[in-house]
Amino acid sequence: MRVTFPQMAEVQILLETILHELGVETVSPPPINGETVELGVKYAPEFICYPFKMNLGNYLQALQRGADTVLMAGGCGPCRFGNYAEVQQEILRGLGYDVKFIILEPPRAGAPPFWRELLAFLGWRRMLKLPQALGFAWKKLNVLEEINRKVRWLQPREAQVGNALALYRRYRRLAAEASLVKDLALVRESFRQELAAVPRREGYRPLRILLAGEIYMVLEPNVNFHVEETLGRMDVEVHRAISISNWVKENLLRGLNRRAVQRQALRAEKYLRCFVGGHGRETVAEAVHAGVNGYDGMVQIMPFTCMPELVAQSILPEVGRDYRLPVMTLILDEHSGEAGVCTRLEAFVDLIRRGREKSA
Amino acid sequence: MRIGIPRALLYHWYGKAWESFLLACGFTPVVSPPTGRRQVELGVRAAQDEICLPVKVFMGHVRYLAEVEKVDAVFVPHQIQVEKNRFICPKFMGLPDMVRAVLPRGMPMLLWLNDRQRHLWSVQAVDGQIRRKLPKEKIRRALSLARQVASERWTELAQAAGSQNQGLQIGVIAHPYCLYDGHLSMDLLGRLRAADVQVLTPEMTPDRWLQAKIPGLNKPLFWTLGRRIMAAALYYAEQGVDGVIHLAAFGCGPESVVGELVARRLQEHGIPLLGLNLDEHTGEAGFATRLEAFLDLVTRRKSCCG
Ligand code: SF4
Ligand code: SF4
Repeated sequence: MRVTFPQMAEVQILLETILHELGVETVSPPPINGETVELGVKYAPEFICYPFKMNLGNYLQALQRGADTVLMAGGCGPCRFGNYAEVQQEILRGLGYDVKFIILEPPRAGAPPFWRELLAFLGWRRMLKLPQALGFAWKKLNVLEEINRKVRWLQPREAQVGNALALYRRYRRLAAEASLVKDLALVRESFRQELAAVPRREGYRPLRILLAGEIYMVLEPNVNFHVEETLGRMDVEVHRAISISNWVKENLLRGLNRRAVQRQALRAEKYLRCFVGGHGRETVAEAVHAGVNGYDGMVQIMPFTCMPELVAQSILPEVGRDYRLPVMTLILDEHSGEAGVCTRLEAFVDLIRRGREKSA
Repeated sequence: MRIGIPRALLYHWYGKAWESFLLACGFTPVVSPPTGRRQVELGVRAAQDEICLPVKVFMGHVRYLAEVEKVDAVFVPHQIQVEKNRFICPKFMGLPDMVRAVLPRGMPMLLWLNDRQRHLWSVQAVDGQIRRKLPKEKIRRALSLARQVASERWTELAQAAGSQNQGLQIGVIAHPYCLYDGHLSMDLLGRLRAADVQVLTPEMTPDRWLQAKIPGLNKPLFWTLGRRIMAAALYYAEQGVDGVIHLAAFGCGPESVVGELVARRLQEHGIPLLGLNLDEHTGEAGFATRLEAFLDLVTRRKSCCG
């Protein structure tokens, strides 16, 4: 059994950590590249959402490299994600791949719950090792996310361009490679020290922009044209609430995170009265949060035809008006080009900057 | 009080019943005229570019009611679930809030809410503004009238349309608000009838098929309309139709999934499929040509293979 999975931000590091700890062989798809896009677009239905196409491209690339099992998450609607796996399986089988899907379904999806699926996949012996592996992966994820967060803070403030990104790349790799809790702690410690030592422009107050939208497009740098880095290069401090760890808390550990979900619902309530699938309500809640906390702007990212985000997009102008929050929506798919996206981001940042200078 | 009902989305299933309900409650329902260029234009201007055509058209009807009919309030169905464990679409969930964005400021909405607890034609589905004003008995009576009208509408929809002769038999799959909207569907049903074709629609699919498990899927489809389309396609296949026409709205999310699953199954059965995508630029001429070519193909196939 050689397991593969979709590429999405830290997912590869996370799953490799867990599966290797358990002694399961993995075949990671290469980072999303031109071939992934080509394959995905070629074999996926034309109007399906972009993440589906990229996942499919990932699987095809991994299958060519010898994978035979796909591990992915499921869902129970109302959005398309819950049915991704069904369609992907049929497409791959239609292409002649004998591939097994392990789908981790939340309870209530009308399919076997995830623990039963997991047990069948891992067997008892490995299942017993699972808590430890999960715990370690979780720690690693937290370190990775801390590195990302702090670098986003540093990048617009650094005195010499390039230090922050170099630090990011190096420590991300170190954290990914750490195989003991002890090493992980060391990595974190030395990252913090090095970060503090990077020379900064004193007293510079960068623009603060909140990033929100559909989780896959927000998190995967290879499909959103590295939006965080790009904005950072324009001297913008980028914040986002969406992250893999939050997704895990909200979807797999529902009970632990009920408060946060309720808080989001309350924030959005004035503008959007109910859940609309995906991250639609969260996007509206994030906009309110950005408005209340005096962010300089918000960027919403979503794939073409994304239903929950389209609902949110229809409502965002209202939120923006109430809080005088500039909002920009980036709708991306295989036809988007890097140059166009950068130009639009630049224009948006310019607009905000001029607004701030005028009011200052 | 004049209450506007947009003739769009699930109006095509429940609209007549909503009208009767509002009438029985003592309001004056004003239904927007059938979709035409006017509503499409209004909708395209009001809604976000990327949103699916049926929702744009809904917004167009809403704007029409507000601007042309100058109604006092707009009736907005907020239908999250109309049957157990199935949703309609994320856009239906956000509909009232999206409508608010296109309504003139201060224009009130009357909602009709269906979700897990609030079933169709239950008192809880009725907007609180109406429930607070009217005596409970009156609402009850209005609802039971509405339920009756709704079931008559179902009977009407489930009856065979078009000719009963032994000519071609074509199954059509589409969401009701595409199929029964003459403008959006380019009068597909009328054209088929004129061509003397016997038509099957998703609404004619027996309940048995709607409840049955779909072969090859590990879990049920969780969209009411998508599920109906899927079941209808399998039913058509078993009935041995000569061809299937899939009318899909541009920008529809669920259709991209269901369409793919349907196409694969029809291919296995060797049934020809014509996929027509509707958007605001679809031209009448191109549509007619493709339809004709498909009917020709199906006729030829039928005559040569018996
Ligand atoms: S949230 Fe958007 S991208 Fe994700 S499944 Fe739904 S429509 Fe597709
Ligand atoms: S089901 Fe499709 S056509 Fe209907 S509202 Fe949703 S996206 Fe639009």
